[in-house]
Amino acid sequence: MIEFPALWLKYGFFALGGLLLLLAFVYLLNGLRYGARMTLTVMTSGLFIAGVGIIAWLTNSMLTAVDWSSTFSVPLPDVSFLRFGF
Amino acid sequence: MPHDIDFPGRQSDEHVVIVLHRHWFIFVRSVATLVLLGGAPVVVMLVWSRLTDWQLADGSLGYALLVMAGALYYLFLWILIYGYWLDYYLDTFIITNKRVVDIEQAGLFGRTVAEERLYRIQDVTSDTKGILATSLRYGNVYVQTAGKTERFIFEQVPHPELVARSILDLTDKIDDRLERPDGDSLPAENPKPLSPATRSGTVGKLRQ
Repeated sequence: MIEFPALWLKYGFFALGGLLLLLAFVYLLNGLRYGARMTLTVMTSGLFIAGVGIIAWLTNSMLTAVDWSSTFSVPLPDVSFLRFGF
Repeated sequence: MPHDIDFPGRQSDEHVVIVLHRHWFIFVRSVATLVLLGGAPVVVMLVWSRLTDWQLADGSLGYALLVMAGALYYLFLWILIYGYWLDYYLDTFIITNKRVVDIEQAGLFGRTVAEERLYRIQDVTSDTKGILATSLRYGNVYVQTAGKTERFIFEQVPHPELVARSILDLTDKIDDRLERPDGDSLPAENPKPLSPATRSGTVGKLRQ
């Protein structure tokens, strides 16, 4: 049995999600840099930001069910070589 | 149709004749693939939960992992869709009364702007290959030039034969103007040999 704080999972998720958000931000800057004068680019950029916001909001609301102060435990398979200290 | 598009090095007396993007189907096809990829996990989960008595308790480790993985997955797909859009919309082929400009957005930090004067264009070819391209009327336009960029390729543009015809018409106009004795816009690096009479007439005009 492995036990770890639920917060570790949260931080790991923040790290990966943060990288993706950074990528999204760079895409957005790139799009606005070359297409800022085009109405359609501004509109689609707005749509893109809205989409990212919706995903973040949905994720946050779904994760409220998780108690982040608790610990998660993962049962290890009963494999014989673990008993010999390997 | 007037175009208010701006591009690097646009001159004050230069007006845009045609602005081309890839055919809309190219973008829709890419996005459709991503939409299918987005729908696949939902379908798998629905089928799996119907076939088995699999359920996740709210707040459990499995639930948290599933929500997080789903969020990352859909965020990634959303970024890809936006990337495809940028690639589609910022890849632009512009034909003005003076030159052709090919603006290519390659990924995040790559952008190529190639241009060539109309009088350097030697040959324009269009092709349409495949069932979809033929029925939706899109294809490639190849512009052979005498410049450094020997061949411009406008890929997957709508109505390639009309585009090719328009470019040829514009180059014909330029050629006519160059060959006329009172032509007033002979470029210094004109590749076409002119008759002595034409040359003297042009020089005379330029000297005035």
